[in-house]
Amino acid sequence: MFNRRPQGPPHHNEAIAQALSHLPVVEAPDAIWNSIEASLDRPQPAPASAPRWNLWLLAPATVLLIFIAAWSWNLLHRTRWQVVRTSNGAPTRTETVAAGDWLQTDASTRAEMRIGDIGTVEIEPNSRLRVIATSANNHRLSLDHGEISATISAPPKLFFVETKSATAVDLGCQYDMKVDEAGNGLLRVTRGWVSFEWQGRESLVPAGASCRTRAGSGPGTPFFDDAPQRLTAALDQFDFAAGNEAALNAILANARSRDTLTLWHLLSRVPAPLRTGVFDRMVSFAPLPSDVTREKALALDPQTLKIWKDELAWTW
Amino acid sequence: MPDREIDAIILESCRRGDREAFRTLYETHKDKVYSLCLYFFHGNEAEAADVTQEVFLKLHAGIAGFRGDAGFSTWLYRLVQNACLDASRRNAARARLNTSADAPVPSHEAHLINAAESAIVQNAVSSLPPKFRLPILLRYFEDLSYEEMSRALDCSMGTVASRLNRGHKMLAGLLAPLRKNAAKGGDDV
Amino acid sequence: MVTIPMKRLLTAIPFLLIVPALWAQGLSLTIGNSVAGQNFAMKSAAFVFRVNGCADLSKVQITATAEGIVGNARRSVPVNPIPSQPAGVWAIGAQWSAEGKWVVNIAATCQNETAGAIVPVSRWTFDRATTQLLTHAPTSAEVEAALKASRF
Repeated sequence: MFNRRPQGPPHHNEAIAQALSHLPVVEAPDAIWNSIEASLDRPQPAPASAPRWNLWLLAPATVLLIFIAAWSWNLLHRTRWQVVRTSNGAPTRTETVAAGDWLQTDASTRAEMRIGDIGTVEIEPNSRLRVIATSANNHRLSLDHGEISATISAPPKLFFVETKSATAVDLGCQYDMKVDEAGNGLLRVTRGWVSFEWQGRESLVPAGASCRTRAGSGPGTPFFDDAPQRLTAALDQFDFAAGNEAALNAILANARSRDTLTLWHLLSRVPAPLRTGVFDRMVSFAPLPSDVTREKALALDPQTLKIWKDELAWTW
Repeated sequence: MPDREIDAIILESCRRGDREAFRTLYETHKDKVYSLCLYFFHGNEAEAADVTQEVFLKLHAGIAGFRGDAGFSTWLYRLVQNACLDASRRNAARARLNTSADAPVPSHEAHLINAAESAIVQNAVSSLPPKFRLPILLRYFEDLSYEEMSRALDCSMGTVASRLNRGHKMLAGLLAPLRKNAAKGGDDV
Repeated sequence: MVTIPMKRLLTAIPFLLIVPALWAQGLSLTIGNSVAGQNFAMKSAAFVFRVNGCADLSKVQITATAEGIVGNARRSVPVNPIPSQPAGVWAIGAQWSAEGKWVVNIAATCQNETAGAIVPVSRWTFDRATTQLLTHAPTSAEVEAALKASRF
């Protein structure tokens, strides 16, 4: 009983919730961190009472910025994300966005968007995206075109970036995503890992790897950024140009032991008659784990593939 | 909103004195802490900033002893509660209702209707006695369960339920003008 | 032709059987990207490592330090490996500065066996190509050589 969320008296709750929606999350002023850091740098123990902040009254620009930031949140929706636009590195404007809002940058501006309290997204010039959802369990953007870099610190599957050809499901990480106006794009992961999904097709992209996506096809097969160019070219052919056995053979021929990331994904994407070639190439790099059998792997048994992936991940 | 599992790496790095990791922790939670303090102290930004700083300094000092057996957020809210109540006791006069002096001054923003409504809500929350104010704020910002709040507020779950109930009733009365406006079809979210 | 007395042969057989078994199950470390840890709470780890060949993981002892050169100063920082899931896997978070060159020196002991690794690292990742896996605790000379050769 006590693990449920408090409901409150029914006739009060709705009015209160509605009224409380007026109260925004207010951004803490930057100066607080400066004072914290100064306190930490001092040799004495942290003071029990904080220093007074009368100095703020002497900084009208700071006060104005605080009010503008605080009251900018006071728009239609309870949960709004702050956006700071910059030009040549200098902040030019602060605004907030809510679900349904579009955000666009031109050739000379960037923007940094705060994603609730789980991270930030940097938006490169000439980009356009829409905020889809800003709720606690669903932070969701749709990238129409352009480039973003996301740094997220949260449990998995709270942050999503949709494109016309795939959705990046954050599993805790840092990544860049670039998309053109047709919805073709490239996801590159620099920390953690990302699940790149579209209509049931999923690519797991760990740090140091990338994955292309094409409108109408969804995410391609992930590859490491240091993979041989012949491998990535053949992979492009295989994923998006109705690549045939020749393309697959080129992938297998140029694969290194680390490229079992690519091969593991290919195993379930190649036609059944070609699966043995992929399997054999994989085991040439790393022996099968004890609870993985050739038969089950070739039959694409989900549990078997998971066990194998978990073991292969040690080489990625 | 369930208590989020904090990155163990970040936490461990903080324990070892990694300033960058502590900054990450701070950036993750600062706005919620500041907002809680702001509405606790009638929109008084100076007081909210003081207490926010105090919370994070205490967090930094105590992080070595945080074992992670309770959720990190629970521990953080406990720090927020204690710091707010301590400051409130130190400034007893400021903790009482003061609609004119301490209410946030609306800026020259165009959304004056929303600004006025927010001021009403903010003052209503701030006018609650501290022991009702914090449960309401934690309920609003973090959607905690009774159990989570009891750990954060260091009281029994029955006490949490009782305080929420009384806080709701008091708030409903204070927010009556807002509901009337909404019923008339006024600007509403 | 050499003949072996039967008695001596029979005495040797158990030893001959055990030695290969010991050789096959020696203590070793495996180093991996944070994705190998399968634990999002460790996502920002510079790397994760696994102890192999230890019958009782509760008894394994691990020491780790980050050895670096920052400017012209030689630095050594104790590193605290964080246990992850499944058992036998630990994560190493960046507990060294962003400046300079660093390697992480790991030694794991299980019963009477020791294995080690020297892992060149940046703030958020490691260099797999130059990571050394050893059947002993890394020596000072090995660590210094790795530090000098680090590409980060």
